[in-house]
Amino acid sequence: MSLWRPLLVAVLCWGAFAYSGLRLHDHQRLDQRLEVLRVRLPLLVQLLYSGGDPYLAANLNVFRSVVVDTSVTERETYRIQGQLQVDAARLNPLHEDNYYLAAAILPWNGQVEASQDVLLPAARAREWDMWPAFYYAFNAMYFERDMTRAGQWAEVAAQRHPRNAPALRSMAAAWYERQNDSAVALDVLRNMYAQSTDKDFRQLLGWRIARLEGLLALRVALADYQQQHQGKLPTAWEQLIGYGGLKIFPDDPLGAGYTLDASGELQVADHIDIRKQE
Amino acid sequence: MFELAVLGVRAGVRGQGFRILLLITLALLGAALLAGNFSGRQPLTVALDVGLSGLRFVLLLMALLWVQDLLARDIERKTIYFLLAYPVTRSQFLFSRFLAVAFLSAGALIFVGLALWLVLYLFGSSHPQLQPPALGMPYVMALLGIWLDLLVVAAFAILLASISTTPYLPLLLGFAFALAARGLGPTISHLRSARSDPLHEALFSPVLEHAYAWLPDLSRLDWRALALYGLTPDVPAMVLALLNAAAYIVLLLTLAAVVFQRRNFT
Repeated sequence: MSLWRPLLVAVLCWGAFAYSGLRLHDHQRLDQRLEVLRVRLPLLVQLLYSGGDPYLAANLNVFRSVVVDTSVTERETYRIQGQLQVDAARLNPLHEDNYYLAAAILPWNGQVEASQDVLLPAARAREWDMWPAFYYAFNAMYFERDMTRAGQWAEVAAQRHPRNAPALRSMAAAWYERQNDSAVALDVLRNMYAQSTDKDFRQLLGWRIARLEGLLALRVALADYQQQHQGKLPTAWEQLIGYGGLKIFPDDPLGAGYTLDASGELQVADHIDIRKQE
Repeated sequence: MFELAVLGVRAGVRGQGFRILLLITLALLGAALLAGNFSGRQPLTVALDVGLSGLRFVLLLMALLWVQDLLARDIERKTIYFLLAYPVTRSQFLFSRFLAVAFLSAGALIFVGLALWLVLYLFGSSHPQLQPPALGMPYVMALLGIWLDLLVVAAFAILLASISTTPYLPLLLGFAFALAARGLGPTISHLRSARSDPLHEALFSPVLEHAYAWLPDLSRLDWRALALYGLTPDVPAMVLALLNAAAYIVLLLTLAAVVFQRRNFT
């Protein structure tokens, strides 16, 4: 009798245990979406829970960012990821995965500023690595439309990778040329032309200078034409000849030609921001 | 005195310490290899990075446990009476305990460091990296930095053990000290940066900016970037950090000797 009672209790308890376990098995969990990010603690707290070890704190942030599922499209997750990665860049700017992830994921999901905040320290710290400088330049060109900064960092990238340097330099020249203030762009290009020793590159620079000079001359002619025709546009570009000192219609050596953008300003045809037109 | 130090090392080896160390080392190596898998571009560097972080943390605990085992326990159990009956002065006894902890930490560091090196060399990722980690001399330098870091913490724990009546005070306060000293550098550079919270800056900066007078910046002894990213060593900064640590160790041990000399064991 004395043995039966505890045994009965044990069997009943086991029954309750196994039954509840079985029911729990398929029960929906409170937080189903473990792949999204919600929490970013202050940097000093991150440092504390990593035992004062900035490298470990940086790694933990990068691991958290790496495991975000690519199918997640939620804004808040990317905002938190951006902050985690910026913190990681502050803790260890040399981290390669961190800047790579920042370049590949963040700006395309609305976190341009965070991406740049990761890339800039990486570009400064990793002096042997052209990529963070290049991605930083690319983001400055494509997302921030800051052509001068884009050109400067493309030049930094070129200095770090002699084999890719010609391609990077011509990219830098192209970005300088797209600068909103074409007169400044022309100055920069002329300086680059004066300092360059590479024959092919000089030729390319020469073309870019010629097309910008053409653009500036056309803008002067157009302004003069509009002044004399009550703001009307010419029906054909050739009608501009004779206005503003324009003697012949300038050729674009790179073949794109000149056209008006959405705001009615004269631009080189391949400079018009397609995204703005859409 | 040297014999006493050797005795101390033997006592440390015989204790539970090394068995625990072996187990933790295995866990650490596994964790480092797994961490490497999180990295798409530099798996070997991340594995080494996490391995060194773990090593730094584990050996800190070991060093504190050894101080507790070799000094604080002796005081608590009154076995120190027998030791002080030897023809050595109290300060010699104290220094011999410090030397014993230094030897034990060096042994443990070489053991775990070599294991980590071997695991990375044999099983580390063969993914071609833009900048593979430097596993030669820079790695040895990184381990040396960690050893100096441990010695500073051990000296602090010995000072506490010479004052305290409970063996847990050196362990707990030693850990807190290590946390503060290791986090000091990164915290200051965060507060100085443009992105820091102005409130935090107003609260902490006045204290932390003057912390150099009483708290060593142990992050200056963290030389792992040399091994992880093959950076060129900044020799003047490293020599200064070495001098800083050595002076602090001698200061703490001198204070500990003075306190220990006057202590009344009842």
